[in-house]
Amino acid sequence: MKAAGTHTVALMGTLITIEVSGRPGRPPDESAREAAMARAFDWFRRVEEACNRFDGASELRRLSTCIGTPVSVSGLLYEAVQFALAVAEETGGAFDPTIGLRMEAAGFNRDYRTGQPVNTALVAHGPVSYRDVRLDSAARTVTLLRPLLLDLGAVAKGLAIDLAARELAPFENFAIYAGGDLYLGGHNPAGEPWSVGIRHPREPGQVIETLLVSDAAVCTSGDYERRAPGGGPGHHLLDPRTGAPAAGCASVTVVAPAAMVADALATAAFVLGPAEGLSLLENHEADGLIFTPALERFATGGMQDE
Amino acid sequence: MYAAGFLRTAAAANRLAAMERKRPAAPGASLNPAVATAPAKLRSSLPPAATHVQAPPPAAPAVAPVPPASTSAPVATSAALPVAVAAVPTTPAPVPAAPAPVAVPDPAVVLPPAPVAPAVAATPAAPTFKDGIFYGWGHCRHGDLQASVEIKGGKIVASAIAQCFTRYSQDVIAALPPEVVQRQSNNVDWVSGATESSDAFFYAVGEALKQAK
Repeated sequence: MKAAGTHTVALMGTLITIEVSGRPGRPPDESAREAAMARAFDWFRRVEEACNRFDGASELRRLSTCIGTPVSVSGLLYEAVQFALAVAEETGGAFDPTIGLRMEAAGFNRDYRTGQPVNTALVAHGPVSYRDVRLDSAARTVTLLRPLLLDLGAVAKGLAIDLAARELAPFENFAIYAGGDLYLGGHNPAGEPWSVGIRHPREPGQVIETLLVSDAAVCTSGDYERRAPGGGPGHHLLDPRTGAPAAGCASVTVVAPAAMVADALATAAFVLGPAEGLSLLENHEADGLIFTPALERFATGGMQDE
Repeated sequence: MYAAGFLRTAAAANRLAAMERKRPAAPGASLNPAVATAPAKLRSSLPPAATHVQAPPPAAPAVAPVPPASTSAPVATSAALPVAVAAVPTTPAPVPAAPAPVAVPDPAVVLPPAPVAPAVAATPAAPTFKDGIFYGWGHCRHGDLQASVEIKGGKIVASAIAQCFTRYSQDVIAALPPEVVQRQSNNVDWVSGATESSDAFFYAVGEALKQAK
């Protein structure tokens, strides 16, 4: 079956695919659909321009050149930072957006557009945490109390997905795929809930379990991609409290109404480990499925047998 | 198969939508329903503990793009940005009211057959390149892909996947351009997994840039 409208673009360090199948029984308004898809892709571009840790011209990088001064930022950056700090507080720092310099030091510093390493030349003066970032919602400013580099990798892509989904909502049935994270609107072209396989964390090419979703985001954090350079044991999900790669989970999948929530919670639960991670998800009324490195399975109550 | 609790999440979404409708439109609040509601959604999806997330009236994300890199003035980086105008309630108008994401006039974004579109707006700082469109091949365990890189004024203005000859593999199915995939033989619509690092794409872009020097 040829999907009605599907495009793939390389953005935010991965491939973004949007498929809009539209409402059944109605002739597709192709120009409206194409325009909405262009707007949807544009949100990824805008969020990337605001939140990209690898681009010296991004708003995020310009923010990190100002220490101790309130910096007025765009709404996109403000929302992403505000949400990341809220999750940091919720998790006692198991999730922490101030981890940027440690990511950079661990070798996660390549600009995907050129493959070249990027170094900010920022120097850490001792450990930093989310408590070193202050917000003023009335003035919409962000203040960095100490030299630090924000990493919004676990938030920005979700935000872009949610904004793109708003553009596509009038078409009811659509899918947004951003490098393993998804938002599924309505139903698939066969008129059924979208089926989403969860990638097997240890068997390449295999699916470990399948979910049926409609009007929800599905985001997965795993230890099997974005390995540390040099073939070491590390992956990109560092525990901000220790600086070491988190070891309790192999794969965490979260289903939630918004992708920014699902994305951040998946990362946070991954760091917290299966037991604490599961209670985090339940507290936020999100559904989730966790596999440990030994493939032990943990699921929230909402994940029921069909 | 597991029904991923979507009934539950759908109920939550409806509840959030209802809260959204009740929320008074703050003066000077967001103009763009898209920006206004998505973050608000997750604000309300946090438990009451995170009160500072819920407290302020919809902080209006300015939908203006970041000014060009030249404005490296440290403080008030967005001072030059258009300020959010009047409040528009969350009417589901598909067309944003104000300086919304401009429907990109560049036809490359909506090219039907080839999955090609401009990838990046900002540019890396250092080297300058010859203007033109350059191509390079990258190889990964899934197969080969060709990247195109467009250079204008010595800077990268777009990079995209020009061709993709990828062996079918279920774990990357959803990442592949649709012409390659077409849901052949698999029995799921999409696969969710950790973000692929698109190494082949890096490599192909690097190869293309070699030709631009």
